Amino acid sequence: MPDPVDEIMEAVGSRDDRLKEKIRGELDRLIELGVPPEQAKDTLVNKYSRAVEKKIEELSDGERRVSLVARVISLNQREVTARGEKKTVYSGFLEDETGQCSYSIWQEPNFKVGDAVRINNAYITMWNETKRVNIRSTNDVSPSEKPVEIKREAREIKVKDTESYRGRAKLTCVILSLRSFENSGITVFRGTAGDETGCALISLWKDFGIKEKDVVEIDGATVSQQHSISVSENAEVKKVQSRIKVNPLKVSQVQLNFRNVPVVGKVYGMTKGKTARGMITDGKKTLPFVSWKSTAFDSGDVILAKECNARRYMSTMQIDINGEVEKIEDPELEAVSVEEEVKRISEAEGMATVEGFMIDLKEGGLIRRCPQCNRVLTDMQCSLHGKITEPKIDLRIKAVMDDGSDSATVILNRTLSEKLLGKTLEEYIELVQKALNPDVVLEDCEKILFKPYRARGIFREDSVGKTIIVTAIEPVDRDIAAEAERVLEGYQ
Amino acid sequence: MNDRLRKREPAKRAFFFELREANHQVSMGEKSPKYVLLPSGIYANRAFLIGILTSTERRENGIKAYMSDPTSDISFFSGRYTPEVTSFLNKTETPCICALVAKLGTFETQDGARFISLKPESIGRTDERAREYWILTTAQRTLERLEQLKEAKEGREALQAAKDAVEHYNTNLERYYRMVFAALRTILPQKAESLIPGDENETKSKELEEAKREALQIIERKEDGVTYEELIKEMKTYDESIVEEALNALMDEGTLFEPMLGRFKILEP
Repeated sequence: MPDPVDEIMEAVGSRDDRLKEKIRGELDRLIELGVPPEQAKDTLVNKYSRAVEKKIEELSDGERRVSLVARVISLNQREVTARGEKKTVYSGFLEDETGQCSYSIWQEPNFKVGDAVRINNAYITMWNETKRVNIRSTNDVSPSEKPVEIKREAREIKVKDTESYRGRAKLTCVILSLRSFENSGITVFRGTAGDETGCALISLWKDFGIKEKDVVEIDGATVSQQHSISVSENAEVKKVQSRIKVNPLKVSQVQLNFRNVPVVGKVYGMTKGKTARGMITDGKKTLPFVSWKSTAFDSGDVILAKECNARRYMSTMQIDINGEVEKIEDPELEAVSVEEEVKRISEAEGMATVEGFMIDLKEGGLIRRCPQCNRVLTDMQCSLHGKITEPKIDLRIKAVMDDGSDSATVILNRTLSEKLLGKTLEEYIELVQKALNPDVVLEDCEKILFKPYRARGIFREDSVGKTIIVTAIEPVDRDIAAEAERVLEGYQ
Repeated sequence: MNDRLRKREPAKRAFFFELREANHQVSMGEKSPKYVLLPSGIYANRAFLIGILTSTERRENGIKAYMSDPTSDISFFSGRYTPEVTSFLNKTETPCICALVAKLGTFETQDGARFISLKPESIGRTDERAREYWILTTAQRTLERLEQLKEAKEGREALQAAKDAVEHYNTNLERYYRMVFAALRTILPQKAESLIPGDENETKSKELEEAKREALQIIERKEDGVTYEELIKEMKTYDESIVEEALNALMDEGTLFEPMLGRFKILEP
């Protein structure tokens, strides 16, 4: 049988004898501790593998031990309060030939704007819809031995190309909306850009002096994500005197945070008052809408709404129709069957019911909230209001429910938690304050662990997983024996 | 790895009998979690088990625990890296009904055989109702997988995991159906024993025929024959008395012989 240490060395890509002896020692130790040999081997390969060098384009949320070579485009600093301590965080943007991303470091940087640097051992998170390289320490940053080549030649693209194209781009588009945001000391302008082929989100990292409805020619923009154009400080942005007609989007082409975009679709399920509410569909996707101004259309109509915003409402996207609405003729949209849409979406996002076991408890029980903003405190600190002396005490259960094919984090508010645990918040406070039983909440929470429940609530899914804000919960109440009998009968 | 940034792997349901037969581990990519392919056709990174914690044995580095469900028993080890599980096992009196969340992996013995390993994540007591619900839902999930497996076996379109299970384990469908049915029977309503006379005998003779067929299949695979203990272990889904009856019947028919006490071989024609 081959020596497992040799296999590890090969996987790690090293021939260092000192490292080999070190790994042998650790492997023996792991096996002695009862770790299965295969697993022990994998552990050590992971531990000693050199981090992979990546391009900005290849980075993904949650990645760790990443190395990259990039140029520093900007550097800003700001004061934050973390766990009661004032700290300075430095952040800015990096670029390489594949794109741009943000970075942050909690120490005074050993680099300046314009430097080409090698960054080791970083981890990647998402920040403001862009990737962020988190640098652990200045020890992980060194001057790059090779220059960062940024391809200056940008490809000429249309807005629709942002679906698949990644890299430098040159394009002409109309700015449909634009708003400024303050972030980490930088002012970012975010909005929606469009042309005759489609729409995309756009962010400008400096004030180029442009306004809504301007038609601009941009050279040196970066497309590093789908439907998103990033324009850095050193891009060229020029206002031009031409006209661009933006074609109306179908409902399935609308992206969250699009503003002032024209949308076409078939509407149904309408209720009218001062505003008109209902659903709008293109047969592929259906979204709720509110028309704030115009109500002169009815269920079954195909409409063109010229000024629409797509925003997050509860856990789904909603279309706000701000301007006039026009009834139009569109045979394709007229043919969409509303009945089928209703059937299809009744099972999709919105509310969800799960039945399964509570298999894990997360931080919860008695929690302290900021009396001003209701945020949960860490070490009596509110991230917005600093040290809090008189927190609001609340009760909440946060747990993982799992039905064997999927799992979701469930969050129970005070009323539901009280019902499930069998004591009121006041009773818990008394028990804890009188130090009769400081662990009482935890002990009671453990009673629900590993038991089956049925929960219903508002469903949300993001990159971290599924969450249900529970509105109703009860222990599973099924006639298990009768069901077992039915299952057996079905197979006889 | 940082669990907060990665989607949580669901805890799959499978009876212990099936878990014990699993031995194939795969990784779907360099950084992706590892999965164990289960014989009914599913890739599982994590499992949720409910059963009776039957006994624990203290070891130098931790504690070994045994759990059983209606189909089989299974063991796992908890050491200093899972202090909460270890401390629970140290202080809990056996037997009791327990739930276990465990990561799945495989390990290789010195003679090259591969077995499943359960790396405990959390453990706790639960109740009889939860246990019955676990048996029912585990049976339902397993039956769904067996349907896919059947499709895959018969060469029709099926889930990739089902196709992989056929390729890797060539899973015996009948055995697995029987395992599920046996588990379900343990939670049926308590009725007076067989209302219709004769019905019980009919079921029993059907079961006996199945037991005979399976015993033969097992013995056929091993050239040196099989010991009584091995057979009982392999035929966990049967009552021991049925296995004994099946062996007696096979010897009476002249299909089997017992070259030495407690070892069975097929009589070559």
